[in-house]
Amino acid sequence: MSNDSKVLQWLAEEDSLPAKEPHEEPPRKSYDKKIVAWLDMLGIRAKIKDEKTNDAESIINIMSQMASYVSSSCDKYMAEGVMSYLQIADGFMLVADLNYADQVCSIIADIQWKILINLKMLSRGAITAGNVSVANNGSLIIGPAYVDAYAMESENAIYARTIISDAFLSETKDYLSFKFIKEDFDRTNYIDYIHYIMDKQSFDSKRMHKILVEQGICKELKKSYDPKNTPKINIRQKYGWTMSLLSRNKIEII
Amino acid sequence: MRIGMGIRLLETLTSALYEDPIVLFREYVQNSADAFIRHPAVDNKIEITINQDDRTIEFLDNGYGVEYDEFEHKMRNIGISDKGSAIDQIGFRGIGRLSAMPFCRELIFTNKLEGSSEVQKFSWNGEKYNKLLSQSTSDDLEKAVDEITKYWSEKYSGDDSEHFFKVTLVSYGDEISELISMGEFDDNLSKILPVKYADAFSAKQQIHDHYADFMGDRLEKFEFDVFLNGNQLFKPYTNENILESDIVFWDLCFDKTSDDMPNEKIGVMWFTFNRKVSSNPPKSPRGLYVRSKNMLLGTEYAIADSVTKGNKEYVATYRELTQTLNGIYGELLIDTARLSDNARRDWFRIDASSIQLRTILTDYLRKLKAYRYAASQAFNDKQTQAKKQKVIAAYEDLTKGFDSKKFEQEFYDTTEEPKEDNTFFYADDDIPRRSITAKKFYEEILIGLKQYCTAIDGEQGIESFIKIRTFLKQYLNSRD
Repeated sequence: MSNDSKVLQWLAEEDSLPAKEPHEEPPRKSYDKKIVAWLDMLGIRAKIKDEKTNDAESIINIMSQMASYVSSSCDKYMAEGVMSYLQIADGFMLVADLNYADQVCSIIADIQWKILINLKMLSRGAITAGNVSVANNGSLIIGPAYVDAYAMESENAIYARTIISDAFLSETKDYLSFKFIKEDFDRTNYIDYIHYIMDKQSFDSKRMHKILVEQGICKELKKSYDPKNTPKINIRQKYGWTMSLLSRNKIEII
Repeated sequence: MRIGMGIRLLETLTSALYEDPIVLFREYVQNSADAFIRHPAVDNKIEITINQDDRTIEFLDNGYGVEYDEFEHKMRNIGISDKGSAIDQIGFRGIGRLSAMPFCRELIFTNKLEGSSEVQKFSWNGEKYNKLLSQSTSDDLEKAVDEITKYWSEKYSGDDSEHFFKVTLVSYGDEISELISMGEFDDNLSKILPVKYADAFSAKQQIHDHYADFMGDRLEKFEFDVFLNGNQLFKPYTNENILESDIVFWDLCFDKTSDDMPNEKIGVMWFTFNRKVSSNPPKSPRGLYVRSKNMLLGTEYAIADSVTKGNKEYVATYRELTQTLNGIYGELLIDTARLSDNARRDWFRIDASSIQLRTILTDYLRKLKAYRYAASQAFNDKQTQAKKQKVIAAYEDLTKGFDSKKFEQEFYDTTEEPKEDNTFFYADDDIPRRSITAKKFYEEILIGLKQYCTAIDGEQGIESFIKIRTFLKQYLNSRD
């Protein structure tokens, strides 16, 4: 059984445990309706398994970088008590109040961009809304929405994108004004983090192209999309999708 | 209300921007270069053919030309670039294609598409254009353009598979005749066009590799095979232009705009200089050539121009800066989406990004000047420790620590004292901005004076000569 399946099974068992008999203990903590997002860096497992490189330090460095991106984006909301996050290996879970829908989308877009531009890696995630409970000062996050976000990311996101559930759209409809949620070719909603960054920085496609070239992203994408370098189609398609995302934003890959 | 635009506007757009006819060579070659960047062909080649007997010039490239349906429209257009949104275009603005108008009787564009059995032609009649300029008071630019342009197509006699774009200047004027007959025409073209380094220039690979490493892109994509009457033109650098410092690089970046963004890159500067920075021969490509996508901007003193104009920070007089630049060879190779060439293409439009570039160049010139001064002091007195420390620090500052141990060893190697170069040019060292006639006169007077002084007093006479020269230099300075 894979680690992912174990986690899911464990979460399901936890979810279905019979309620304990009430006695003198404080009232049992119930679920709240919140936004739950899960973002995962792609390619970390392959790096870990790669015996040729055997470079624990670079992997630790990547993980710490990601942790710093998350904390720099979320810490101020954590201090306000409206958001919690938990880093689990190469991914992180973020829980926020429903009225922080825009901020969650922006944070995810920012982190996806930083992972791409600084770490030259791709990421994949999911955002949903539903019942969840945060305990132990944010170090424990459980609930059906957690399972949903995790499952959506690993089963439905497929490409290097952060997908958005219908539940998220309906639960946050009164708060959501983030304008970079787009519909993909398979009718799945996703966050266009490239468009978001271009808009945030007031960059045109020419300037964005130049930055991606300078940072070696275009070269890396083209290289990884080449079957000679990446024979597995399921991995190649993640690079292909990212190239198409750039192209949708009129950024040429040459 | 319709805005009246007369033929005077066309005159302004062509002749006013392109006073020097050499610029038209740059415009047409860049036009072809842009076409190659948009749509690379195998063995990209740009051929300039000058026929001095029938006074014609042809610019021929083997690119894929302009789409059939767009050709007439694009050739007639004024001020609308046909480069579309191509990301790496060298940046001409539609008006560039008319740069030859004031200098020839007719300007013909020929478009041959692959697979087509015909060629399309579009001509601008320079003679009618000049006539209109002298007679017309019309404010109808469109009507005037109709009068002086013509579109037609004809059967192509060659192979259908051929493809090319050609610009022909028919019966060019005396300005161009004069330009072409100048002895240094080929060299001047080599300096301004986006050509390749010669294979014999041993720093070529080093520059390419460094550029690719830093910029994440290849410089070669902006280098083209350009031929003048069958002879390929190369950048005018040879191994003789690699001086004692070897090739030193500066990598230029803009400041970060935010934490989300990496530092955007400006370009790579390479330069080389002697331990004692003295003027390089004026006919060599001395100074620092600034190239945007390998297209030359301004002259070898472009950075001195930029640093002295409208800059709050004072570095030195313009003369001192040009003298300092005369002591180096180098290029600043820029490729960034944040800088746009100005209308005259001698620098960049003034904005926050170009001001940032100016700040970097100010710092560079300050360091170069400081090194030149420290080296000159230390050269004349190799015993004083303070001077030694100063020159080593200045060298480290200028080269960012580049092999400073080697420098120290060589600088203080007393086995070989440098001798004054026979090719020393007084005029360029003393009065770099004066007219050629004044310079020639000054040069001859100084050479004669030196001969006189040494003939009368031998080696002692040199001292008198230097005193007189210093006096003359100060006198000329005070007159400026």
